[in-house]
Amino acid sequence: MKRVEEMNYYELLNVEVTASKDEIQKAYNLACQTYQEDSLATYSVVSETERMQILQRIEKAYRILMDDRERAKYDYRIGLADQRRIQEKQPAMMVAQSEEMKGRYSTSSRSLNLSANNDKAEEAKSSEPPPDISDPHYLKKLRERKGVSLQEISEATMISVHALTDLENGEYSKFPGRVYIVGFLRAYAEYLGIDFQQAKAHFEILYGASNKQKK
Amino acid sequence: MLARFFQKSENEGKQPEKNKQEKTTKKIWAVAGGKGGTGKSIIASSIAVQLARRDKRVVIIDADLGSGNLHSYLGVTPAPITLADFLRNRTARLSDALVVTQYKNLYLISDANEVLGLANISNQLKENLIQQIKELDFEYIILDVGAGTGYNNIDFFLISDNGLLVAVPEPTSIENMYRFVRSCLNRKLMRRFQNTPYQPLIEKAAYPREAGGFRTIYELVEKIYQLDPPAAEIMVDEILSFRPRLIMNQVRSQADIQAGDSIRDVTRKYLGVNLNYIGYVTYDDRVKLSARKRVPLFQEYPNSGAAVCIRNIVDSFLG
Repeated sequence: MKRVEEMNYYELLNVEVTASKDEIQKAYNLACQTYQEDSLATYSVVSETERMQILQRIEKAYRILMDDRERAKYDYRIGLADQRRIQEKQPAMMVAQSEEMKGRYSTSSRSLNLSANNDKAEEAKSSEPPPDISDPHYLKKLRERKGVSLQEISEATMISVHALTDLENGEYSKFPGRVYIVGFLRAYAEYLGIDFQQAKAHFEILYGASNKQKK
Repeated sequence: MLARFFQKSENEGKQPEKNKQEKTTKKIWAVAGGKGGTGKSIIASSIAVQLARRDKRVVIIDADLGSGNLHSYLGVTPAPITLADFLRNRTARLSDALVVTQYKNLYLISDANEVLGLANISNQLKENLIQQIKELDFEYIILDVGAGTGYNNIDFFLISDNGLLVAVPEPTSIENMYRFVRSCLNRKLMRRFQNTPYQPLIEKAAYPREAGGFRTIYELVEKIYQLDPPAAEIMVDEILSFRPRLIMNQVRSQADIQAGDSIRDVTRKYLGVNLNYIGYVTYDDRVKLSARKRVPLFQEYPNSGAAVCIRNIVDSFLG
């Protein structure tokens, strides 16, 4: 249960944190319809002031979520990259958390399911040697060895699939800064059950190499 | 701490809507709608007919005390024994008022409006009625609940497993529906927190415009949370377990259809209620025509747009 003012942009638009641009567009269109002037749905319940306020927030939500960089920044800011941060920030209203409520009302309160990958780690033991940290596809290979999909990581860490893809592909220029990449990396590593220091070392190698290229 | 108040209210006669054991074999659906022409009764009767056609044993009850019309929509001549007889103690068992219809699996308990003032029955009588409704031996019990926000309507709605709200895409209908949802929620909370120190606060929440009132449900919950976090948790549980479903009737355009999604959003954000938009029924002249003939829609115009929509809604529940 959340007040409108406390909802994040995803909750405001009723989309998953992993929503595609298409889904966000549709949600935005519906939201504009819902809160337009003389709307049937707001009659007798939403005051004019409230209507203007929510429209402003909807506009902002749309603008931010449709821009990859802004969205990544926002995701980080609201703590999607770090589950602990979410739990610390919980306002009073989040006290009564039933499973239903988590699913229905708040996308930012799902708990990190660290047990999911342990079984898979055993199952997916391949005969090939593990990848080296200098391998550009280090992260992806590790993930595939464990038989975990990007979707799964996305749902558990609430980092968007496209951000995770960029992370795995070393597309670091798409992130607003180092600190975001490392933050996402930490969540990724924690969920997957891989050594964060190794993952960070891998990042440093690739990041350093790409910076050299720029110079 | 103050948790002992909740122990007491839980033991003191179970709240009607909490009888989970009964839910597994029999389902009570209530159909409510704002006053005047939402088409609630036609939809209720059509739903009942469709369930019967799908081989379910169904009874539909005219719970619109004092102004029932179901017998007309179903083309059944006024029954010898009606709900009125039960309420006036002329018959002890509600099941005596069961009447067959032209559909093998469908029975009716009608409320031929013979007596004035039937809308105002005592609490005891209402509880007795509710109990006997639950004891009826049917797979589906459809309650055609009256319009407006009187306690009887609300209480019948709250005992259902599946509460259906019928609205038309018009401001007054939507306004009535919101009023009904608010009243139901308030009533639900009042019953849960009966005989607790929070009862006055909940009463106050029913009047948001009064001084010291709560503008939204969130303010009420926050206030309770300041006083007693476990109590607030119980309250949030109650709120979340209220899951009415919306049917938009007489829709004529895509905008009308989409209004249902909009209403769902507004209800969640501003009333704190999880309303589900389960379907729409298109505007159809043949609905009026069948009503005028006093023949069920499904019989007279089984392939009309409206009939198809209602079939879809029912079938989506049957899976």
